[in-house]
Amino acid sequence: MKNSDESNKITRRGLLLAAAAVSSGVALQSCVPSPDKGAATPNKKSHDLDFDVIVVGGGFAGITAARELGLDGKRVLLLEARPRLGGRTFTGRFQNKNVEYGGSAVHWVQPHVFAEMQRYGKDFEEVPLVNLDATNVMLSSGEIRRIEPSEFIEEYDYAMEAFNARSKELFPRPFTPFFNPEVLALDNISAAEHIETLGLNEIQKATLNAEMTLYGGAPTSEYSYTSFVKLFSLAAWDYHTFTDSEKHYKISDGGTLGLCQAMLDHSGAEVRLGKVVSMIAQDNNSASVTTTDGQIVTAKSVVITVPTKVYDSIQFNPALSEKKQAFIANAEMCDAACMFIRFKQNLGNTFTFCDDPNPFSAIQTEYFDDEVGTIIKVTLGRQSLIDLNDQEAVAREMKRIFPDADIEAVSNYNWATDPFSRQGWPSYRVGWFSKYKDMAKSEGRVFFAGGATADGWHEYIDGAIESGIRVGREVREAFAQEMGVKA
Amino acid sequence: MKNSQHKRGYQTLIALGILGSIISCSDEEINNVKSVDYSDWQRVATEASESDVTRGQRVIQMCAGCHAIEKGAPSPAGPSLFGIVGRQVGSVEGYPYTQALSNQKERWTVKQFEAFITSPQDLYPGTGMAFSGLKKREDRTALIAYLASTSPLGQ
Repeated sequence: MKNSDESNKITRRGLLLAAAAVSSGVALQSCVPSPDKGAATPNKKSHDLDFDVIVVGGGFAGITAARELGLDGKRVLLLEARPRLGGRTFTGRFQNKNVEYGGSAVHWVQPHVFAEMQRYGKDFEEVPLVNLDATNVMLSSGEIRRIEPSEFIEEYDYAMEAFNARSKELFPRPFTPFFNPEVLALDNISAAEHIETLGLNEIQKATLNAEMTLYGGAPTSEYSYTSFVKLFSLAAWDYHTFTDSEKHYKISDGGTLGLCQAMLDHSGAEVRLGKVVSMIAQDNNSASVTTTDGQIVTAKSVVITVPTKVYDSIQFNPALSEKKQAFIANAEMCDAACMFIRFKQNLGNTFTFCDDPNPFSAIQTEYFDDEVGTIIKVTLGRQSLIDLNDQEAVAREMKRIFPDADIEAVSNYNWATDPFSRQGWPSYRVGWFSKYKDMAKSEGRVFFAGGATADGWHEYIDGAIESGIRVGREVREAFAQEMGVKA
Repeated sequence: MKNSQHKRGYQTLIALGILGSIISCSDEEINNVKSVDYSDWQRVATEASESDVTRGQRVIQMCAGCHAIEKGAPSPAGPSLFGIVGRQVGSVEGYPYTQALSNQKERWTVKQFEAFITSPQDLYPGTGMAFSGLKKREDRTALIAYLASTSPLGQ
């Protein structure tokens, strides 16, 4: 509470202006021999560190951590490499509409994101999904099966139920994923191996394998079987609830960005965009973060929330533990991207699964009427199967699924090639789900969050928020302990 | 070749651990920003075929997820593309460029722009632009033709 007076003085608007001033002044500042140490410190403090906490990464994990610690009265700086907030969520534009190019699925069975939506007055917005007009399945061979929605749902339902048949037994407490130790014993089973044991027909197998390719962002032979069953278990071990939680709702009132902004406004944190972190160092008394523009900022603690594959671009001094280094090098592989396409024709409410190695894993109608035509969202588990920036290649592939539809516009966001994510959502490689806690463990003054460290919905926005809450608690406890020791 | 030499020099400086501050303060770099020559873009605008411009209008839809194209429109992520033709690299006021672009002193010539959209990370390692690049020459030609034909010079 002792900083509450000071925190109140730092209005969000003032900070935004300050952040803009810092950003626009970069060229000039870089001509000053010494970095801006102290220059941007918002308050006087008995110690000489710039901030109490520096949060690296402005996605949901980082914003949640900043909010948790900002509300505690800590002086928080949030550094984000991109020119925007949101991390692997991104409310962008397509054909004069706001669309979500990244994580977007939210549901009331996802407790952390639902709580934040409630707290900041954000509602749910439905995507069509229900009452499908047409459903397609592209088999692994590339053959198309155009089947009735009722049949599609029945077959997919059967496959999902079969895949997750042991969910309740394996994950009686899904937020404590290894409560049943058998989960650890099954860590080396891939989704592909498990699918082979289920005796599925061709439609069941194709739809399930497409879905698993999507969740893994990789061939299903690389994707951890039990890590998906955990996600299914989180939706009350129920197929209908799970499907509803993953494809049906997004955030209204400004989308994911609107929620990010509301949380950050509440935090009182200072935000600097366009800041690429190159080094994180610590000693007994403090930690420092160096950015590629040569600036150094100091604090008592650093919270790092970047995607797992981005860690390689940051030098840690001292080096991270061997367990973390192993996790960073091996545990994740999500090769995902997202694309929106507008067709001239109104194709109605459609859903299509394309089994691996066909690139367009899931295709879902986002919007349709006679005036706009159809806007579809394509989610690719493996973007490297196609050059998404080659519109002719995209059109050729799309013709196989919608032969009579004419493309009016295409836009994509390639998470795997984005230098500040280097991957899609956090998905565990077979053999690595059991080790996710290695990535969450604090090391001295450096604390770790991000969806991959979540106990629950690790591939979702919810997992990112969960990790931000957890890391906020860890930093709070560390501060209390330090104060106690010093007193 | 000039670009690649520039890039090599730049990388060498970084490799030596010399901060960006020194690069941006060299007289040689600052003196490069004197008169602005738009003749390359004007030439493209004059010579562009209608089909290139039409194709370019499609290609630029891929940019519009992040970048505003029309004057005064807000950008969801990147700097506005309005007036990019001939503009100094990394120069939109108040925009939070990463150090990779904020320290550049050259302007967006046709040649520089084409090198960038071919592979942004190769031209300016560390750029915040997530786009991986247009690998087809026809697409780059079309996008350049569209920008040259529609974008005002010197804004």
